[in-house]
Amino acid sequence: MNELMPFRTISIIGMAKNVGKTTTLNYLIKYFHSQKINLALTSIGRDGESKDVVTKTEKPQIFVFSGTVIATAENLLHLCDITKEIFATTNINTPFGKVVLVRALSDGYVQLGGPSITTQIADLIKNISTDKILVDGAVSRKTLANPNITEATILCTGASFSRSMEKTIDETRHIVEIFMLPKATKDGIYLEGAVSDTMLNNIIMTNKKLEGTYIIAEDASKMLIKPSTYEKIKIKKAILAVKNPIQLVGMTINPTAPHHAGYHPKVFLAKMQEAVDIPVYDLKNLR
Amino acid sequence: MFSLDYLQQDTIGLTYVLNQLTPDSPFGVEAKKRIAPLGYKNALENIFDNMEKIINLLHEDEKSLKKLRTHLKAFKNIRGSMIHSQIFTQVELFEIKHFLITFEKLMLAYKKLSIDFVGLELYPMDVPLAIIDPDGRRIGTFSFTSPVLEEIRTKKRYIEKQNLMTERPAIVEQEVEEETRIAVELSMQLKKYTELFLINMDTLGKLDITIAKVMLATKLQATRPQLSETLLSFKNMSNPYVEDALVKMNQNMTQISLSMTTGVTMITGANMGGKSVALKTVVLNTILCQLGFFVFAEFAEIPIFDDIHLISEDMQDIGQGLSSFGAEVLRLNEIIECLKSKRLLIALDEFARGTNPTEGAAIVRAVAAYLHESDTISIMSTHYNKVVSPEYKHYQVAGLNFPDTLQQWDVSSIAQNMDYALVEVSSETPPPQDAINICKMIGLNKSLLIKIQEGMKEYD
Repeated sequence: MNELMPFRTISIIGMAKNVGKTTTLNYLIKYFHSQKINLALTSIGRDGESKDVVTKTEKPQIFVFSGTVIATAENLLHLCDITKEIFATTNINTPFGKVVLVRALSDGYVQLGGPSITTQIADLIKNISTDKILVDGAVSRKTLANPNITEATILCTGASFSRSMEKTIDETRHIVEIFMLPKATKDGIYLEGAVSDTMLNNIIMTNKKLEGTYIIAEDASKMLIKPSTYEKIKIKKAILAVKNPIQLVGMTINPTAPHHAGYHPKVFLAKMQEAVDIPVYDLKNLR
Repeated sequence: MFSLDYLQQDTIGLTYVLNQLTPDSPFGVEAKKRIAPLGYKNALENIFDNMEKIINLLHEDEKSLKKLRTHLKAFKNIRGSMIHSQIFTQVELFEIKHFLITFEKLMLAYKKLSIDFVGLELYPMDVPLAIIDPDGRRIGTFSFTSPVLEEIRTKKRYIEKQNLMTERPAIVEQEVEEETRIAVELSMQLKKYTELFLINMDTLGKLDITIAKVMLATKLQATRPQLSETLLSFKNMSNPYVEDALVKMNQNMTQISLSMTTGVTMITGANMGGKSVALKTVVLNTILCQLGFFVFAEFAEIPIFDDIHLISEDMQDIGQGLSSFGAEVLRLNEIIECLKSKRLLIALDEFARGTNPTEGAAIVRAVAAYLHESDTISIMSTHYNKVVSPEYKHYQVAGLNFPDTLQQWDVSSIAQNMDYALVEVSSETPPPQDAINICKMIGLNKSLLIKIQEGMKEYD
């Protein structure tokens, strides 16, 4: 976990439901607690229900230690069983009321419901003065890991993404590739907003020579393309790049799934480690 | 505002002025929404007196004023909680505590000013503050505390330390129960002071809006108007909205001076001579005074009006199935209905401009005569001939200085050579024939211009 130390704000995002996002969050909370690091928690939108609304599976709640700062919506406070000290209210509104800042005076479970607008997360972070801030990200590619929000990102993936381990690994590797796109160092074709397969296919069709050409998106969360499209770009020797790169610092995997038998933990870990260039951890099967 | 629709409020510059009024507190924001004509001389004088006291403070002790404003900025609006909540949540109790601590700080700064503002008295809230902060530590956080809770929480910590997680839900339950009991108790005690909270929040809003008006007056150089009985008079009046637009085109607004009283005042003058601007500026400043604002003039005397009417080409009802003339006539009828019962300012900008000149002039003559008989102050602009009766006040736009030496002109040179000042003239003074001069300046086709000039001679 040393790779996390240089970063003050870290977001955690999932490839799907039940891939171990909350497990990862709890692991980090414990780790930072053991290091005596003063921590704050918030989320993009609401997450952390005790039972997953969609799949009705037991889902671990977020457990924090005394002294932790929580930024959550006021109407979710009754679901937090920590002893609460409120020290600020904000003008940020969510479907669960305004976001308030609470200090945990005891250990306990919390429900996070932060702003769903990324600029508001950025504002909120500015007003928190703890050593580190963890942002529980959503399971949606559109808002994932917007580099304007956090300095570093951890990706969670696992067996609940697909029955096929091959597919899970392929798609995860693709996402990692997209997330690790380099920062554009020279001018090229700049694409505003979301980048689709159609857009890139059009560029491939209308430009005979693309070798060495930069095709630039604002950031990786805007690059919504299929692996096959990325392959075509690679064949043309064009270079996909982003204006604001994301710091993807690591990945956690969950070999179990609620709907099927899951994967063999050791095989899954080994194959994933082979597929990507970032550290991969199976938090439930750490040696 | 008064009988002006939103579009008219925009075009006279009222919206522009109000948009620049920026209160510091949520209560000031509420007060801004409630701004309305005061209707009484005393009420207005009190507001103006308060504003002058703040101006003095701004000059003599700006630091103290800044401090007061810093406290105002710190407030959050707890009106909703105070009115609607039966039992306050922990977040509400935090905000109430925050309000009371902020109020205490503001009260201290306010008392230090030792200024006797009229109608801006704040009432001490020491008692409710003592309820929510019994040990007087004034810490800006809120958590439930009681000896019972201390015991429960010690047990909770022990259970967590020993990792007896099966016993934890029961102790959490106990904690919630005791917290709820405290919330109910605090709510019951605090609710007794709801009225005090509400009164102080209203006064904070009034104080805040008064400071905001002073900051606006200082920024845009407005002055205190004198309240009169029937004299409506301005010396070197301006309109910040028009000024702003002109400055963007590298031009300045000519200041306007005029004075009128019960009866009709006519403004005649050249096309593009600023008759409409003069009229709208009179209406703007008169309205601002009624709302308790300083006005944009070196000196102003303004009576209290029950209502102010403006008929102009930019009314909202035009284009909603009504021709401009139709809309004008309907509005005029509304005005006539309340002529006798209310103190009115009536401003008619080029009334009946859309009709033929013969009928138009006849209509304007009759409307003027009718209004002149009533007990109101009416101001009318017109470019029709022979509508000014000797008993009316008559102002004319000074008009174009037309130097013959220059050959090539464009639209901007009209503005540069137009004297927009209003000059009082006799009723016989005919409107200047600047239309043909303007044709020349803009560079109308020469042979057509000659035809027009020949036509004028025949007509004379």
